[in-house]
Amino acid sequence: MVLKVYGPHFASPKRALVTLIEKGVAFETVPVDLMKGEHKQPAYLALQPFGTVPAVVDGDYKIFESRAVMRYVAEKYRSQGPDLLGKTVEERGQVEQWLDVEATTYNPPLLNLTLHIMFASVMGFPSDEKLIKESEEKLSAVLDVYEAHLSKSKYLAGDFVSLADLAHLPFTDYLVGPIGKAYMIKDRKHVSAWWNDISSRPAWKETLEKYSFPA
Amino acid sequence: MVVKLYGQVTAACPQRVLLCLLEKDIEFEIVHIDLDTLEQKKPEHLLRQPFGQVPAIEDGNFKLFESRAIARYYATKHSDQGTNLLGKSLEHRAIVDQWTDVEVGYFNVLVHPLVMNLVIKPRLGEECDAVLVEELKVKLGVVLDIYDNQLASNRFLAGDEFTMADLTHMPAMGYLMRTDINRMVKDRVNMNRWWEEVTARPAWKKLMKMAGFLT
Repeated sequence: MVLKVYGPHFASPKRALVTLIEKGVAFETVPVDLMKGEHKQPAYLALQPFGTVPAVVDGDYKIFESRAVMRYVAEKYRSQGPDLLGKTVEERGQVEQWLDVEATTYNPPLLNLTLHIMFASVMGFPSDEKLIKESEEKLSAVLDVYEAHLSKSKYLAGDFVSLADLAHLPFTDYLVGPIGKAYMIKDRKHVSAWWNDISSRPAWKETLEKYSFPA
Repeated sequence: MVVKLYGQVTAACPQRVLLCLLEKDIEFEIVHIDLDTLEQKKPEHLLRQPFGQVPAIEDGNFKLFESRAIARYYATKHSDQGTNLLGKSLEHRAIVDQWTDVEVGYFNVLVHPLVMNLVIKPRLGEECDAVLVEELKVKLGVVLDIYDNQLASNRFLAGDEFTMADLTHMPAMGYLMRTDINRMVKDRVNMNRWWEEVTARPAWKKLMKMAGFLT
């Protein structure tokens, strides 16, 4: 039985998808129609009780939270594809550190920008200009820290690409694309070089090619 | 060599690390970083934690920040010592990771602003945002129902053993339980049962004594 990822067209599930593709793991996807409220139906809530995407089913085993799925896949398939967890316990510690930075510090303001710039009208709430401005300022301050760090380190956790870098791909893709704030990345020399590197990886290109939101 | 933890013993994020170290019988030394005088924003601390937050650790030459990453590091490095916080198998560990990640995205995102408004702002003589507090309480109610449902058929969040998933919730929950909002937990049978059990653990009691919340 093949591993299934629910909700592939949305950003968070793409963290799981890019990891699966990097590791050469076979999988299937199951679309979830958020516009029709499919994520709030009992059948989906049985897989993900908070009603968000992704959910993953691997035979009898169920798991949700995109970064937990990334860790699961990276550990289970450690011996194939790039080692996305580092080679030592200490390297893994650095991977976990930057994966957590993405979750606690980088993604929250970026998520505000995503919701209020890309999805407000579609989801039927007023776009909050004050929140957009504050979120851009917060994200800018975070990117300044990234710029300093990436001037000394090729990738976030060291000289190897890891889950920490991949976790940034889906929403940063929105930032430089439909959110219309590519300058936040491009105006920072080392962040820009890092972004160009990770976003040109074949696994990410394949993720976008196959699972971008249908036009 | 003893682990040096930079932070304030009363603050939730340093407590997360301290609780892990206590559960694992790992020796540590606390280097006090005074949050009331914004010591965490000063140049010396920014070298340890470039986002200007606590905690950060130094263990010989090894440095790390992000409390959950630090806890995962020590739980992995000393998996044979003290309480096993990461589950018995790869699949179990991924469920532990899942609920640990849920704490970041669903729990802390609500509890942090609630505690800021109900506890911290009054202490600093600032005005509490009453409208925001009411909105957050409604959202928290929905989330706690999901937790209560999980704990109806599981002794702990990730199964029948105490893990990192439970531990990671405890510091912020401790703050919440010292406000009027503690009703929201006490009124939910399974959450109440779980909270009583996890706070009866010796490591928690030791931590609360260290923080001056228990005599």
